[in-house]
Amino acid sequence: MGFTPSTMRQRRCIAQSGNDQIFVLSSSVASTAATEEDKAAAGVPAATSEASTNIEDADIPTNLPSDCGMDYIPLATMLATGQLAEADQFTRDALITISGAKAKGRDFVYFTDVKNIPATDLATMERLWNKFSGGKFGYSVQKKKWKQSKGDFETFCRKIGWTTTDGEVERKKRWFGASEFIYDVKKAPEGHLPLTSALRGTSLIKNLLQHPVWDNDDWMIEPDK
Amino acid sequence: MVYFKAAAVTLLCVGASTAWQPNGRPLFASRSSNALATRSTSTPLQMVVTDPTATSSPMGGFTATNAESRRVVPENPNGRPTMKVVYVVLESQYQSSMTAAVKRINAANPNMAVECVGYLLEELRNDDAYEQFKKDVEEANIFIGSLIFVQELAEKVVDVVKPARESLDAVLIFPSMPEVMRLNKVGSFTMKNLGQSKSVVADFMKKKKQEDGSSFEEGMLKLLRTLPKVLKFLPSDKAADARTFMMSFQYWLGGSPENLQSLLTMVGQDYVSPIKENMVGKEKMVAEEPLLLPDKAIWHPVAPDVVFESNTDYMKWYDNEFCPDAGIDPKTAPTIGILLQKSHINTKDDTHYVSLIAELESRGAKVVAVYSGGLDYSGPVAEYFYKDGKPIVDTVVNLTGFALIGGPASQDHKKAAKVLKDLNVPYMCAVPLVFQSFEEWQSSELGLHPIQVALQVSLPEIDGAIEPIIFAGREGATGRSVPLADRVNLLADRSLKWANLKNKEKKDKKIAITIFSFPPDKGNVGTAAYLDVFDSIKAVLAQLKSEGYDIGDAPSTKEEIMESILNDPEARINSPELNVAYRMSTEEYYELTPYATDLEENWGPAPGNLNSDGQNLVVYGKQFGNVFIGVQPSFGYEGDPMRLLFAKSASPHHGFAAYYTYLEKIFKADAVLHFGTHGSLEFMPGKQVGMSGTCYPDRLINSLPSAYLYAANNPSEATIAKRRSYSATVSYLTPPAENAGLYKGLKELKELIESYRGLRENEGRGPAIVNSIVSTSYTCNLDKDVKLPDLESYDAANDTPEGRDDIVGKVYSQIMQIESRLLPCGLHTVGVPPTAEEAVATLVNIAQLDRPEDNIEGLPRVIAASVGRDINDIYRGNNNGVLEDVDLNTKITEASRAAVRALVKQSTDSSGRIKEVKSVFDDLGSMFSKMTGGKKPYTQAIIDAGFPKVQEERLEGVMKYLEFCLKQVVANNELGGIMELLNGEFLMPAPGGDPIRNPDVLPTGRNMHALDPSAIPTQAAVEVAESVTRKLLEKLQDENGGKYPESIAFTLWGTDNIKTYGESLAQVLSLVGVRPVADSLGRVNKVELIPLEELGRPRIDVVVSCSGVFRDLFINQMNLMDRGIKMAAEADEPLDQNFVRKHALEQAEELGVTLREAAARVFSNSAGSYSANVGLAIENGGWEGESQLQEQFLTRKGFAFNADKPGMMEQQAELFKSALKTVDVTFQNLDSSEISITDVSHYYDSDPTKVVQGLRDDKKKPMSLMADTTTANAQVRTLAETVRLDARTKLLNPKFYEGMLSTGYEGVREIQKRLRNTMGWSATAGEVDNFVFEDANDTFINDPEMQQRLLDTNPNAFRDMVTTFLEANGRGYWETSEENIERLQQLYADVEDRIEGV
Repeated sequence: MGFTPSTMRQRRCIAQSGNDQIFVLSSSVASTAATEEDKAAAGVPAATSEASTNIEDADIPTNLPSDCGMDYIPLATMLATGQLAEADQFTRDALITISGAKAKGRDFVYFTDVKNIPATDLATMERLWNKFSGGKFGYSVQKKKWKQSKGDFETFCRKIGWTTTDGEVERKKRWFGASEFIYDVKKAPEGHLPLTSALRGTSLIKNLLQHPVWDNDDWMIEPDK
Repeated sequence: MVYFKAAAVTLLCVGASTAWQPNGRPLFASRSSNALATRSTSTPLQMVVTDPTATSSPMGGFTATNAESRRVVPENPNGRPTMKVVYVVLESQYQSSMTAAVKRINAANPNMAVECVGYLLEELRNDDAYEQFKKDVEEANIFIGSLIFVQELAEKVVDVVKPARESLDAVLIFPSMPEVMRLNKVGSFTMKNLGQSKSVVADFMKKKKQEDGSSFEEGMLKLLRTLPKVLKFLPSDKAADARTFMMSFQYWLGGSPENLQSLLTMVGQDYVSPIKENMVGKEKMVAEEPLLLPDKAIWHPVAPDVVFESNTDYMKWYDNEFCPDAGIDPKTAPTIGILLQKSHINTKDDTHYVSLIAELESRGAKVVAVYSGGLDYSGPVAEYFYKDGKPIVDTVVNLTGFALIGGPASQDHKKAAKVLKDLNVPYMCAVPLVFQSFEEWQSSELGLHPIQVALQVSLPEIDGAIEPIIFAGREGATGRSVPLADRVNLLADRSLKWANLKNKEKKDKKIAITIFSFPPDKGNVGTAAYLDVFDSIKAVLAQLKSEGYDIGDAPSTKEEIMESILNDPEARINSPELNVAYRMSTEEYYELTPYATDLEENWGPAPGNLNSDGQNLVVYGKQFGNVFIGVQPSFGYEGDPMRLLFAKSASPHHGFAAYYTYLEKIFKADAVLHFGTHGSLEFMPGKQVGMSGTCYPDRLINSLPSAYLYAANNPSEATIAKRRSYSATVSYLTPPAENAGLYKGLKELKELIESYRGLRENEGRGPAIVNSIVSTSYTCNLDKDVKLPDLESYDAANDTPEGRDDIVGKVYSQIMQIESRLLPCGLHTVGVPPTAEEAVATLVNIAQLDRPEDNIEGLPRVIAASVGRDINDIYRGNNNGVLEDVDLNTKITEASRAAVRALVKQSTDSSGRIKEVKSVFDDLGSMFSKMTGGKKPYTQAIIDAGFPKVQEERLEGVMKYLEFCLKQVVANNELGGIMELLNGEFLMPAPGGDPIRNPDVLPTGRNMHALDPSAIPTQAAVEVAESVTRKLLEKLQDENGGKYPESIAFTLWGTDNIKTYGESLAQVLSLVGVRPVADSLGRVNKVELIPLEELGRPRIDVVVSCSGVFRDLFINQMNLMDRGIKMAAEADEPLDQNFVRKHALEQAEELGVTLREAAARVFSNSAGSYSANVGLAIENGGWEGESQLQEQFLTRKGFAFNADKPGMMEQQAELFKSALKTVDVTFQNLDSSEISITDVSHYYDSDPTKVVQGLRDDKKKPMSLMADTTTANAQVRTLAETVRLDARTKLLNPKFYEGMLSTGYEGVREIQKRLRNTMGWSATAGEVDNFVFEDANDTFINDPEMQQRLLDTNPNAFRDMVTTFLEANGRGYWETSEENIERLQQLYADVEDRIEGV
């Protein structure tokens, strides 16, 4: 496998962050939760993506502004090393923190929290997703798909590959147990990642995609060094 | 013991409900205080619905889940004693808490480890799972059960746990059926004697129940609250054990992992020996006291304090903090009240609740979400949905899926309806999938699991609930509930639309009135059973206007309204002559109809050629102000035999979809009013119950609130409309029934018989009259019904007086049957109650029946008693043609009519209507009767009619009842009911059915529901059924030299069984020789074999063909029948005494299947499909020959129900055929006079007579019989007799056709319908006499004046009549003169020209 030294360093950093409970890595949970069921209960994807090799330090952006003191280096590293499942988890966890839901003692984002998410932070994460997926992943990509689907959640899911079929029965892809989502830039359809939970309704993703940050393309602008 | 005592003391001091501290830090709200507890819900980001269980379906599409996913085995017991726990629960929300609790014990408790496995109740149906369950219980230390309320499964649980009870260390049963509760055992504490008990606790519970009439479950909760008081009176040793039980219950109700951990630790330490031994010398784990939420409270997913115990507190936070933050204006936003189950809040299995709340709030609505731990939500509704005595919610959505009061246990529907009416807002009851995974439901054609349909659809309907929308499913791996995103969105949209009806200004509200053209044929626009559609629309428009709706320049006469829609009453549908309201371009259509491309498979690209002008889709109708009256398009495939056969894969056509797209998105209706019984929407392809987003009724109606006018006598189809098209029904009266009376030759006969009565002793004139009677009887074709002497050779002068009496008696009996038969006259107009005169015939029939349950003797019985006769004797004599009895019966009938007329006259005003019922029993009435000679007017009437000795006191019961019924008949809330729905109010529920049998059906104008499906057959129905089968078998033995038939083919109808409380399905059980047995809650859920000695005759085999509607409503009864029949087949009895076994053995041999498989006798359509479509084929003439009809019948009706796999209907054409082959008799029931066998196509649609003939080895036509239970004097007649009786009382009866013609356009269509249905009987059974067609032709065609009237009134319907006659002749059902045929052919050409405007 041969991680470059820098990658190794980043992984250590992630592990430390995990202890700070800013986000939870699947591996750290797996060590305490023995069974699939626990993982499922914890909402942890069983599948982790393969880290890619030979990422130069220089490839990982370091200027990652946040309006609320969030550290996006882990996300940058995960994406740079192709750990898409981990990056995906990080992104969702980050939303809980930066939306203020966590401060209120909640472990999920309610749709009303979305307006509290700083545009800066969303833009930072979006640029990372965009950069490392060659423009294939990210909320802005999903927003386009959303528009094409005329705001219909079912059509939207079909478009971005969140739906699958068993025989004649169409269903959403499984998250619990062995995740069926595609953590692979080449194989996944456009807009496939990051995942957003609709377990508490579709209003969260609708609100996310209607965040003012997507009203124009300013989010694309790289911050000054 | 330390912890336990402390906990008990706490309980004793503070009581259970105050263990919760509203002002302190909520004990349970430790969202972050306990890492383990939060971990299970710490998933920020679960994706939508998922279920990793395989979709294979060992149980016929259901319950493919298995308990192994719930098994937890300790990984490191490390020498700790392990206790094994087995639990059975109804729903899965306890699963994740149990699993977490057990893991925590295994991880942290030094003294014990736990192995645990849980079963969902429904899984026990699976043999493998059941075996495993047995094994698990045998090895278990602790058994826990909760909410075990399904009889057959409760028995299974008892069968396993009872033998193991001794060896089990503790058995904890929380609210369940009494026999399961009796398994409880905690040390010395038991409920063994529950029900008959001397135990203090049980006594107390019983007393509680009597005191406040609350349910068992409520009793338990109350007991819990009153625990301290009870414990004081218990001996101390027993008190400890009782305390443990009560604590356990507390913990269980608490439901969180912490609570369950405490429960298991407590019981383990104190009752499981190895653990007890291991504990010696060690300190016990101190379990925490139960962490409890209040019994009921307001909950919100993002509220800082978890729950609110008053709505003042809630509103303070919600209006001031939450709403501004969420961008909701608290002053103007609609408010949706939501009901939740506490167990989901306790176990934090709440995401499905959160999702609906989020969808509603993101649409700008306010939410008041209330949970309760009990099963009675009337308290929470009263407490939280009102503020200062005023309702604060605009719509209520019940997410528990259960009845409002009583849940799955015992319901109080009356109280529920009252509570809801007080609140007066629409009440929706949505259903979470419990016994199926999401994929299982999605792939199932039946849809929702039958048990759930019974518990969570049928029962809530009786409360008045509407819209059983599935909103959540279960995640297989964890058992957690997850929302179904598209369903939750629909639920949010629909509940808000209902709220909108309450809040929007009436003048701005848009109402779409949808009328039908069914069967979709020329001349049928605006059709609805028994309804004068356009006159009723006129009434509704006037009402709308008076309430402030904008009806623009709508015309004020029926004719003008009709004209404006039809343009030309001669117009046919699909022709440009109907008024075009809107032309929708195909671009617009595809843009606005999300599923449009799915229709292309069947219909090609839009616009197609139905409801199309070639370029656009065309919507027919007319808009007046904010009211649109539109014509629902047809199914579209009526004339296509292949589609009729395989309509399963069909879909609505583009025109149909465009119609509903127009209503919702272009006209933007706030509500749609479907006008009359019935249209096509609810019969569109899709699941049976529990629609998904791909079912067509769901896609079409989408977010539109729907009110549906439905005939009160048709609750079964109304139920389909309610469940499949989300419609709230408004019942309407069927037209007033009248006695058929006599006409032409029949009238002459009556006169002759009357003169014979005076002159029978006269040797000269008597015989002459008899001769005239005989010859007139021949002219009237009565020789088919009565054994008449030979016309040529007979001379009454040579006959004995007895012989003459015999002939006259038989003829007399026959014509009186015709005379007294009830027929609905004319058509009903919504909002118009019957006149006094019209009410009489109905009341006379109500008066006929004895009602032992209400202690009421029928009027004929009382009158007969006054001359020392028993009414049943008189009926028997009457049926046998004993002149004296026929005469007496006639006199009694006349006396009854006179009495009822006298009663009604009291309240009749000068216009012949009844404004107010004046009691003859109040002071004024009594004074009045004193003035007129001391007798009540009705008594006097009976005396005057020739029964001077009638006892006034004995009449009082029935007359008081009639007075009540009269009030009900004339109280009419039809327009009121429609307006209540359109104004967003709660419409009271009411049973549907036959007002004569069940006057509770009245008054109309209420939301109709079917029966509690586990309530039938009732004991009374079983008794009636036994007398009918006795008569049936007697008749058959008579005709076959004393031999019993071996097999009888049955047709069962939904409506018929609703009206009779299951008489006809009880007949099936009776023939086979099994009896239904009620469980302790009075529900009929099992059957037992009647021993042959007791039965006293062989078991008769049956082939049961259930209508699609019956299958939808009574799948539990199909289950009963199937189990009964299989029991009979498996009974080791002599084959000449058990024809079921005899045939099944032969079939098993022939088809190479097991005996049990071969005993499939209960058949219906495949799930989601209705009828044999034979009726449709005949209605539009599009059929090749009879063999096509028979093939259709076999293909469409050959789906077997199997109690071993209750979740699916399996196509078993071979078994169906091999069972039909042995049939000697085909049999149907006629349950009410207003839906007789030529009134609707259903009866012949499902008649297998000719099918059986074709299949039988000897090609002999089976006998075809009908039971007529429409009168107190029940009859079994041959089908041919019944067809004749029907033809004589309807099609050929001037009273009937003149009544129809008086309503004009619709009336002609009604006449044509009877003619066409009569021909249907020729096609399927060959049981129509030539004279019926001949006489009909004389009446309608050969009479030039009549011909002209028909032609002028509804040319299209008249053309159909002409076609029907020609077809009857062409197909060989009617032989007639060349002259008649030529006339018909000429007429056809003329009328065609006229319609085409040549």
